[in-house]
Amino acid sequence: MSNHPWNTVAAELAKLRTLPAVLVTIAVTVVVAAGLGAALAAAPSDRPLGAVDAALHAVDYAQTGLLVLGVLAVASEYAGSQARTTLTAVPGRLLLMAGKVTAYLITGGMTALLTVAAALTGAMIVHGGGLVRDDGRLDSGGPVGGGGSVGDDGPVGGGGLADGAGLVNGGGLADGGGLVSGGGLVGGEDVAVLLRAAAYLVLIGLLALAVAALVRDAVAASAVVLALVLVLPPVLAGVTSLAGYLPGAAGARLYQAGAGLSPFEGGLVLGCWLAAALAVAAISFIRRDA
Amino acid sequence: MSGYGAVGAELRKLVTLPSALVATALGTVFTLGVTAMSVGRLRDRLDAGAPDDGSRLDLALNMSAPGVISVIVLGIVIISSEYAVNGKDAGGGRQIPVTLTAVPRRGRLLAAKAVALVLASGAVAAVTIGGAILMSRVMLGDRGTPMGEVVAALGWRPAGAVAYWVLTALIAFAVTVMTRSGIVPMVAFIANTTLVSVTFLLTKVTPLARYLPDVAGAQMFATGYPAESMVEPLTGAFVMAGWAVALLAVAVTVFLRRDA
Repeated sequence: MSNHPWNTVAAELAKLRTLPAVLVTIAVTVVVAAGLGAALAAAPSDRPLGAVDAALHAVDYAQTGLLVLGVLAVASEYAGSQARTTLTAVPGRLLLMAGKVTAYLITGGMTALLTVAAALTGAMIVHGGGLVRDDGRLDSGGPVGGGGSVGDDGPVGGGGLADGAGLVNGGGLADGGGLVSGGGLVGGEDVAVLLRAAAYLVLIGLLALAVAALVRDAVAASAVVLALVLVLPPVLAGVTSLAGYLPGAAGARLYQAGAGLSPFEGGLVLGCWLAAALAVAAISFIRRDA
Repeated sequence: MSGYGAVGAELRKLVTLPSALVATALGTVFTLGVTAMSVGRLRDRLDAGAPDDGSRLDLALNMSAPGVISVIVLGIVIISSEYAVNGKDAGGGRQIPVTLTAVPRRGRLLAAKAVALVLASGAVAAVTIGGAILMSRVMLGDRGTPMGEVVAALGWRPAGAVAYWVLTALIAFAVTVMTRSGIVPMVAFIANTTLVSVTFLLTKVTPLARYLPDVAGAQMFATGYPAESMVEPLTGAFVMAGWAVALLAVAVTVFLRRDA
């Protein structure tokens, strides 16, 4: 096989497509995201969540799947001696790394979009057969008119709404309809924040890929990224505001408002983490024995 | 091999596994470190004249929920390491055939592993939780309630936290016996200890979720658990122990009937 960059990407894509663990991870992530979206939308004793809010909240949970996907994209090479076979075929290590990252971005991008769509679908089904109607929302005493769901720390759609407007999007605010703005299902602002949530999913999985390239073991890499992304931020948030700059916490600002960073700044911080992690991973991959 | 010998062998394997050592050391240092920082902030607030609202009593127990990750790793690697494949340069072998050659009775082998795990995770839990309580007393000095009152106020909760850690490790162990690979239980159990706990989410959806192992077990030590109408601490202990026994029974059945 000639080492054209696109061939490298195609080879890596073929690996991902034929690894059972990868396929199972994607399927489980999407299905579980739908269930989580439904569960979050249905949760009766919690603050009632609208469909978009429930879907965004489900992303918090579903990121685990993308973390595993990112880990598997690299660590599967090290389960046996696949890494050496791969390097025989593609000796250019930087080219190989770039091919892996590109193949992951394609796979992870599709997975992230499916995940967010599944979470939204699950939440919408709970909210009444896909069509969000006024009565269903009003009965639950939900997000309409700044009721229960307007939390200072709740998932808030869009950067401009960070001051407690709940999930109410631009057009829906006036008539108190939230998602029902203009009779449409999901407003433009909602689509934007859902897409940012999908982007976050892809990027956090890319961080897992970089960690896996450093650790070279699927189980250890999973433990490390889960600790970094899920365990540390809430625990450290209790003792230092710097916890907001951890990759997961900062990146989550892309789709969830909160104290500290704006969506743009949060994305920037996550980008810096990614640049550093990928650089270290690439250097170690180039210099280290396979 | 006698039962004691098998337990000793499993303990020796466990304490020489790098991943077990790293997880235990990091988990203990991290738990104690965060507790120290929390207590330090509380001390500053008390010095600044903030009222004593009694919240400090269980500060040392607050970290029990995330700290349990270190014994989850113990429960997973004590069995997943048996199935990890060596590199081809090292023969490409697995530990499990050697282990089963030394201890052919499979039930006895799993029992030895479970006993070793209870001892190890119990020790880690006692050191971490006891250390956190002791450290918070030392750091607060004469600001806090006297030690005797603290012990009386905490009562059985530290023991409940230790039991929670040990039972969590046993459940992770039982599940890993079934999966053989460590990655699924590692991801599922660690993710479930965090803010994005699926079992906790289920408590918002169905009252039956109060009988899930970690939700019920957390009642053994938690004060102010953020969900309503949970089970009593003693009930929680029985529920979680019941889950552990049931999952271990399934694990033994699977392990007895399956090729290594």
